[in-house]
Amino acid sequence: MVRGKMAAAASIRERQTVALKRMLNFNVPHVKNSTGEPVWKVLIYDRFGQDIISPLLSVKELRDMGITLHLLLHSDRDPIPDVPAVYFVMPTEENIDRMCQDLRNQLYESYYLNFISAISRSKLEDIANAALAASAVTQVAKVFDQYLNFITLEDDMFVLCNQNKELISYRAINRPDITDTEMETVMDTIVDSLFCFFVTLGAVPIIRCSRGTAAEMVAVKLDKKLRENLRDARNSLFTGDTLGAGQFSFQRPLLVLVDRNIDLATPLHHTWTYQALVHDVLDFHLNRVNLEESSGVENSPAGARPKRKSKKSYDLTPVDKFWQKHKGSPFPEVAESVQQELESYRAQEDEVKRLKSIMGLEGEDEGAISMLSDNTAKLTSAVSSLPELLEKKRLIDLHTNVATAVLEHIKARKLDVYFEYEEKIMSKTTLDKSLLDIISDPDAGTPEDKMRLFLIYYISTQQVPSEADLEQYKKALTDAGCNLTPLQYIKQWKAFAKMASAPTSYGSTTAKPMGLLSRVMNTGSQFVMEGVKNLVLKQQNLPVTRILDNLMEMKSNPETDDYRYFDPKMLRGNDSSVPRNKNPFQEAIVFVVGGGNYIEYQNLVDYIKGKQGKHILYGCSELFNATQFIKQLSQLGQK
Amino acid sequence: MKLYSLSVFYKGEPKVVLLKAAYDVSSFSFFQRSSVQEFMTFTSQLIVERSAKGSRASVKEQEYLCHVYVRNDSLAGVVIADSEYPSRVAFTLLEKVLDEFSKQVDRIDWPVGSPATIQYTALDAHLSRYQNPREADPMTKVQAELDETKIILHNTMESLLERGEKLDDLVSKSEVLGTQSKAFYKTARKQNSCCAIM
Repeated sequence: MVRGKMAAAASIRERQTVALKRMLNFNVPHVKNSTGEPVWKVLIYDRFGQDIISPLLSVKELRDMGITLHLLLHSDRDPIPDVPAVYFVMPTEENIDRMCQDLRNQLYESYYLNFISAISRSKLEDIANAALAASAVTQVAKVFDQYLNFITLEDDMFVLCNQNKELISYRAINRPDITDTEMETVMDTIVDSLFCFFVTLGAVPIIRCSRGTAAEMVAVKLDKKLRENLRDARNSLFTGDTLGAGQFSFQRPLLVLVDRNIDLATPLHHTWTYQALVHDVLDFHLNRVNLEESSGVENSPAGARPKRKSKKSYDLTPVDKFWQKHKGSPFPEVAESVQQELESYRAQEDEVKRLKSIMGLEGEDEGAISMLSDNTAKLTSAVSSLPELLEKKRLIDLHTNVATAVLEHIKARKLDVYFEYEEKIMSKTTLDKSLLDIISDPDAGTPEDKMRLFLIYYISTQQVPSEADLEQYKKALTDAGCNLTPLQYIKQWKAFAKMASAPTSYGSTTAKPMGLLSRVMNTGSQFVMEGVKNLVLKQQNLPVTRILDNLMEMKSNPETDDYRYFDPKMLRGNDSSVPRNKNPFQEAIVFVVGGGNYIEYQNLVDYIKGKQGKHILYGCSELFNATQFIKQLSQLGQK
Repeated sequence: MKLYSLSVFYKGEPKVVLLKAAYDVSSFSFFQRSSVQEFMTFTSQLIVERSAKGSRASVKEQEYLCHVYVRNDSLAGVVIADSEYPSRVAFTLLEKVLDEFSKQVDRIDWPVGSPATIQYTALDAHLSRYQNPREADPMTKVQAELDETKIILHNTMESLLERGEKLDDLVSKSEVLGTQSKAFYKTARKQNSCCAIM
């Protein structure tokens, strides 16, 4: 199949999904729309496997692949002797033991064993022995190393893991009491996942990284691992057919490894775009958002009962067109768009109702409708568009609920004020209000919001505040209810940080005249944005984006000039900083060691939007919002 | 209260030679440790360079205090501690270490020695033990003759420099600092805050 240059821009989501489907199809490439029923099978996974599959395949899609039952490895499972079982687990000691137990207990008809990351020889022998002992050798149909040890959340975004992420968290990497061996383990874990990522992507990158950081250690190890694999003629995972045959991109991608410590302000920043806001203020992970809704006052004979909170979960998926279109939009635009969608839906719904009433069929079911011959075509089209309408309504409800929840936070905490102020701090524009005023204002923001603001100020400021000033701030923060331990760590960090040249100016964020908002308010929108500033984001590059731009476009810049250069394909390990490749890259992967967030991701997406034919993927060792990050800073600040 | 480094130098003319050093960088994060260590060596060396023979001094730099004792026979010791650590104990430690060193290592080896060639192994143990000043040095053992008025106090590293001399130049010319550490210093300096670590 010939794929054009645009398609060559690999969607990691697509690739990982294809790999999963192939695995579920008994490790034979899955052909879509093949006739005939799929073979029914059971899927057994551990929590790692579950986290990898759930953002990519819905329960329905699993069923389409023939999975009738999916179960956790470490659960009580009854024997189903006439059904094959597909396992998708990490090759850990406990997992191997349980699998051997399954074999001994003759649970299934046949076993397809898939390991998320490569299994060691000795563990493989353990399984072989268990199979022998259980006389089940013939039933073990296939054993595969899947090299899928990473989680893809978007077409162009991935995370290393969700379970055990404390083991490779920012804190784990930056705590002072770490030993050499512990650091090796952390780095090896990260490198293993990155290796899996490139195997799945089917490309061997050129690697660039900053010196003296965790990113460098990852780069050295990754280069070594890739190099060893390439030279292993028998087992190389990067042979021709996996290298995306049909891709027209002749150039290799660039991998930029950066350390979280180059920019601690962005993870603390208050944000204004939809997806980043959802991640910041709501309970959102692995593409699922959990809301608590108050269902209103209940009437009962005994009098009104207090509002009961019901929990709702929504999956924000690739098929959600509204989400795909607006996840990077500024919030007022989102609110307005939901409103527009609602209006257009109501118009369509009215049209259907009108047609129904014309036929004098108001309130009757579709069965009666379909029996009529006149105007059937009109009605058929109205009726057939009902599933689409229903889907549209579902999405409108979803986003109304989510956006409303977000808006409540914005209004209660005055997040627009924080966002605007922080943008000014980070872009070094003059501040119209004093920092102390905002911190002392009891109506604006939670203690955590204030702490975030102050930390951003402290991180970004040229001149560290004097002892006296600092004491004043500390007192104001403590009075506002803040815990000061994160500040302890940031102080230390600032003393050592490689503070590269100051972040480029963000430009001023101005409040646009009310035009856009007033339209929303006047049409009786449920999004009452009164008092909320309609802030417009001016596209400027965050530090990570800036670094990527320098390296991808081969620009000379003191910040990145001494970055190391690795090419695993080159025969001799070359430690020179001078890149051999002089042409700008078309494809790049940015990976942040130490954690990343949606603000950074969105900034990269916006940056690449203007560049034809270029493509970026964003990955990080863990994904945290400001609350989670502050918690880690706090732990690091405690001595 | 904490000790970070303990080093022995020979104050030769014109160069100052590092003979032996011990470090405790365990309170710094993994990737900062080597740079911190290099900076401590650089700072210690600079201080010895700028201190006269037969003098004692304490140089303050942010939250750190560098205590130096240069003997009349050109043997010198520097201990870098935090501001809480009692300076009296620091000077006692220096006195003790230099005394022991001069007995164990031949004078003839001093001008040309380096950490690799010098046979003196007690430094790490001393650094470790003196982390707890009370345990290592009960009040009774403190040298009574130590005349504290003779200890020169410098409030910053800059006051050690000569007129027109810049710390930046010294950093770039230093053979002790690796490229990474120099880069650290350079960019921190740009931010108008004093030397990153020291």
